[in-house]
Amino acid sequence: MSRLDERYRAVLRLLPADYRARWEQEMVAAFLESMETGDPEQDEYVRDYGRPSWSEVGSVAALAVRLRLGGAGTPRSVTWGAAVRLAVLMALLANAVSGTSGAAFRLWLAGTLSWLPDPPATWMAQIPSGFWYVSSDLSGLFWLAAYVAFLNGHLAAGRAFIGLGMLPGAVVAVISTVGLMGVSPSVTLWTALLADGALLLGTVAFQPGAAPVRIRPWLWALPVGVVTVAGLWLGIVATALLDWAGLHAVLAVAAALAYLGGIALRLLRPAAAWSLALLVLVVAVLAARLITLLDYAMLDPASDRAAWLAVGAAEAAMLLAVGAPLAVLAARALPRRVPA
Amino acid sequence: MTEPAFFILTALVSGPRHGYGIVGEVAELSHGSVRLKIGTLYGVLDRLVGDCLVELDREEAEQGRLRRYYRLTGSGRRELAAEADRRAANARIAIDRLRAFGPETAA
Repeated sequence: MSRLDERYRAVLRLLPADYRARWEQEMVAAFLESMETGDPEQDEYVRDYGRPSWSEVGSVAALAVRLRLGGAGTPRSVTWGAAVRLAVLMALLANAVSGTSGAAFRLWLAGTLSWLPDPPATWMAQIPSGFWYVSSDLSGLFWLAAYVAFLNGHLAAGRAFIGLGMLPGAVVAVISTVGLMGVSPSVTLWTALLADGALLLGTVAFQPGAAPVRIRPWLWALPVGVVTVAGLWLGIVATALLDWAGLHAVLAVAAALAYLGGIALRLLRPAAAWSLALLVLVVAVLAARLITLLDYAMLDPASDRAAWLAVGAAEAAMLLAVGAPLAVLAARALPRRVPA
Repeated sequence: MTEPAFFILTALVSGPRHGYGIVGEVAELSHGSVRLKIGTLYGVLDRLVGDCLVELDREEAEQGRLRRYYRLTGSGRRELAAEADRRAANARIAIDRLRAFGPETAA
């Protein structure tokens, strides 16, 4: 076996074992044939020193993602694919809810929602203004558009809206890092950007042939979520101890408790995809919560640093508390690996 | 139907081909604009075989390598014809529109 053969087989290990059992020999033969130049000396050199091109590696990687998450393949990969799609939809819902609430809040502060009472002057002084901050809040409406687009199967439009929704936040993160305009560096801004990037990546699980989603419950979840988040903000913002990561922690814990409570009360049966999806979200939000506590650890001790750290630690503890039973449910329900 | 699937089915109209042969035929049919990677080819072939649009014709061993030849099924031929008609109809709409609103820009 030549080095080129070995290297290509190493790339093919990205693919599920059952797929490799059916197609590997043929793929290797076709690939080696595609690398032949007709010159025996050159061919021998390529066999000893050649590598698959990045575009070829990319095509195998894309195939691996489609097979592992796209709704076809082994029961285990079908379950993972369904779980990733559910997690993406829930994350999109959370972003659509917080984005819509954030945009409405910004419009309220600007006085454009005249049918609501005037906002307190102290809030207007505390909330950062400036073009990119305002744009970042109003870009929350792109998340609403992305959520609706994915529910209706418009994947390309949905991904474009996600990109637009990420853009102002990305600019603010860069501005804060290079210290422009007097904006302080913030771990939270980069963590949020990373989380949104992971969400965008997760949308590859939405492939043709994947099981469709029942739209109506997801649509109803949107206004319910907006009212809930608005109530949370209005109720808690006076203490100003609910930040981006904290809000997502509260939403993730609430979703997990609703699911676990439904199972405990025998209103629901555990489903592998839902257990996995909620576990993925809880783990992601826990990671974001822990990382963003760095922002508060760097605050002046004379400020309310201790309060922020205490609230953050409590949120992390709640996430761990719901994550453990979800992990058990997911491990029990996930189909076993199919031997090669 | 995706572009790679369309061209792979078209490449098989003239007779059975093996994997690398399909890559070459597709490149020639598309005048070089569609260059299939092996990962893309076999991802599409797997789906086409699963949908019974393509089936195994024969296997051959050549210089120690396995060559499987694939052929178009009757369903595959009908599906390709329907897709070709659909694309031609869409192209016709665009051409007629261009002619109606600017004859000098139409093909």
